[in-house]
Amino acid sequence: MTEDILKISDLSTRFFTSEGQVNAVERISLNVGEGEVFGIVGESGSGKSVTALSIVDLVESPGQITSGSIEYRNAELADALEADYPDAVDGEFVDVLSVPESVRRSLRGPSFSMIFQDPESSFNPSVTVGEQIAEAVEVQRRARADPRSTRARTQGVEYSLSGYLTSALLPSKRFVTTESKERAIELLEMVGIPDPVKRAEEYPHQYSGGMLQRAMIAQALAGEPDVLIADEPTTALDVTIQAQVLDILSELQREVGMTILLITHDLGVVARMCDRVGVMYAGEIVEQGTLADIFEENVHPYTAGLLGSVPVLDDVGGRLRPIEGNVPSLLDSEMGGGCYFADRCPKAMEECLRKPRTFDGPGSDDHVSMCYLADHPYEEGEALSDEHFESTGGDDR
Amino acid sequence: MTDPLLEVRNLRKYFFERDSFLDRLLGDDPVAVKAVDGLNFEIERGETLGLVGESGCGKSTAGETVLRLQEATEGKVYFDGSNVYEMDTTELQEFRRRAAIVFQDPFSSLDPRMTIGETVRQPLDVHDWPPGDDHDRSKRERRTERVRDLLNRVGLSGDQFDRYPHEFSGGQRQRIGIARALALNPDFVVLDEPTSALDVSVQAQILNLLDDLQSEFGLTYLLVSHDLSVIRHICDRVAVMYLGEIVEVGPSRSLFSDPQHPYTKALLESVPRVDVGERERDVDTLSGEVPSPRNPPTGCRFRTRCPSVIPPEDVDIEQDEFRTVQTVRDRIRNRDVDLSGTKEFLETDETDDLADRIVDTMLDLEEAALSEPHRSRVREALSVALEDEWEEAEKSLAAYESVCEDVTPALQERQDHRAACHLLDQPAGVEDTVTDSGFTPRQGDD
Repeated sequence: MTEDILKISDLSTRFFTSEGQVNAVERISLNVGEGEVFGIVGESGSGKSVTALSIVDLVESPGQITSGSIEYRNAELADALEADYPDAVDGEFVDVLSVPESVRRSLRGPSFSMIFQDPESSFNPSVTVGEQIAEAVEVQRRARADPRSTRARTQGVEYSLSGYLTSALLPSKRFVTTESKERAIELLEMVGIPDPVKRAEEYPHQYSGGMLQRAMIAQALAGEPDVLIADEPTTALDVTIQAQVLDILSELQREVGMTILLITHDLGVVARMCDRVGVMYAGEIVEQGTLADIFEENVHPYTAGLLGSVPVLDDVGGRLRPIEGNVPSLLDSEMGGGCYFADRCPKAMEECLRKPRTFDGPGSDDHVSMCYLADHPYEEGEALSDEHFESTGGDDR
Repeated sequence: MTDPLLEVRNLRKYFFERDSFLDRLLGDDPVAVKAVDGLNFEIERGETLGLVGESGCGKSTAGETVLRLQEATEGKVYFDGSNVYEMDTTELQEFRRRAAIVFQDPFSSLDPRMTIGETVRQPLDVHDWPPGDDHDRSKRERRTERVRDLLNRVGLSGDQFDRYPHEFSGGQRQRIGIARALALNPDFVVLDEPTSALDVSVQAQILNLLDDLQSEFGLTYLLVSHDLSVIRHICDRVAVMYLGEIVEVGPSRSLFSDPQHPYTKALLESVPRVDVGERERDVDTLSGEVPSPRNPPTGCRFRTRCPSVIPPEDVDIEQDEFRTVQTVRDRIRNRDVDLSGTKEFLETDETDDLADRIVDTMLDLEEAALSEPHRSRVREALSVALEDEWEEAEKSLAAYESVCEDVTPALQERQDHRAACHLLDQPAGVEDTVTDSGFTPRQGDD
């Protein structure tokens, strides 16, 4: 077991919308070891993307991180911050939620970097791919040279008409330098873009989806991050291209020793990539453990349901075992105090009306599950009938 | 001999770009995007045929063209014996009653201003259902009752008749789409990626529902999907498409357990398995991307990505080396060697030295070594190309011409299914019977 690089405890992120408070992430705790691939798997609306955004501090209003801590191990950073923010530093760990925003911002790039789901909408269509990557390289380079200059971003000026004119007339004033462009080409080559010199000069629309996703990985690597957060990196891609992109990610992870937090809804991708997995449902991590714990020793009926829903390629037909019902609303007012899965759960018991704590699972030491079934087996006599749920959206099947 | 419900013969659907009046004035020739290029298949009654392939392979276009939602460029589709493209208005209306479609995106395929009851009732109104008179009740009452039955049948509640689409989740909306498709009691339903917008747990509900409805109403399905696991799960027979053509077709059991075409093999291999041992499984990923359907490769369309292109008999060369040579040849043929750019990049003017360095750079990119004498031949060709003698350059590598780029492979009978690949003829010792017609008559399929 490697040492942890990221320790998240009791993290909650809520959105304060006009319809009420939405508990997108609800007191989740997880540890990510250095150099491992940690997978967060769940269905849409389970809070997995918000978890990722919370780590890189990109949750936007009306969202807000309301409690918890995200501790990140970095001895240098801890030393540097010890004097100013003694509360935030614990040994080699720094709680990134208790340091000011400027420090958090400086972590984006060299510490955490993120790949988004939809590469088509993540690039600026009016700037060449090479330039956009070079820009990321340049921001990181300047930040390293002068840690106070992390705000020295282009701030949109570069892309205004006057910006274009200035850079055309006075090339020396351009934000991006020749060195950073060369580095951008190296990065493109690293992620397997053929003919990177030529491709760097092209615009995003000239790239295919798979190429653009690689370019985004290249951009994320510009700051040489310790932790790469990949939010559904292959969801928009075809299987053969998905296989290529996953290969690149595992290669990078092996060669650079990068830690990857992989967010996906695809259990196949989880199986291919991850060392450990957290299963999210309605904002909570309901079960967590090694890949084998989750796939073979799972105790939470949601985990089992998710696995049972997947049509298996090597297995001859037969009926799927879907989870009945739909993902619940995350509005605080509609969320009741029990286990959130109870109304869809085939093994719900009376005690499920009280929220279960986290129990140790039967698998490895890391295996934990938020389900009473981890504590004791199912007792038919205590089974919960539908009547308990009549008040909450009964027609929602 | 069986009597299929749907027979598709040599179906082509081209979309034309640069085809406006202005383009003609300017003298631009229209460019054909060959979305569907010569499909042949048939669907038996009560059967589910899966059409699988990557995005852009033409599978959705095929589904729509079969229903005449798009006019075909060429070809025939026989539905229960009569050609869909030659039907007059009355026949077409009857065909529309018997053939329905469920669309991919449940968020954009329902009218947000119609209640779901109206949405499901619309086909009944259009086709003036029910036929004949029942003096006890008005048609309106009977239609409403039918809609309620349908909603109940697909797992919604009849009480939700007056609700609007935005009040439903993705899975529920897809159920509404299914209810609408079933309203007129069709025989044949095209399912165009019915579950790809849904979460797995909901997807499983919908797949089970489709399965139940098929056995209950004796439906025949054409399932269009990119998801091999879904196809595997519910299809009796599968057709694998690549760039507008079917490369392999057969009963799903034998196609999945014993794929014959290298593309099918690669596709199956690329799917990550939900299994603890998945990380150890070796996957040979396909290199490159799907070529453009505007200018598909000659011969076998898969040859630009194929891991087993057949070298000419008199050339002794390893497969990956051969691949490299093919890439160079393709680039020369498409005049796609950026010489001035490379010159600039390498900062040299000497043409002689340049060819060598370009070869090095290219080989570097392909991550393949090229042994002699192949290396010097490639080098030779490139230096000729450098002097703008493209045709010369092409000729100098003509010795590497593969059967895969010359001849379009036909679907060959193999095991109990058919695949279109030149490799298949050889192991069986079959003489080169490949023709350009692209189709061999069906022989006791299944």
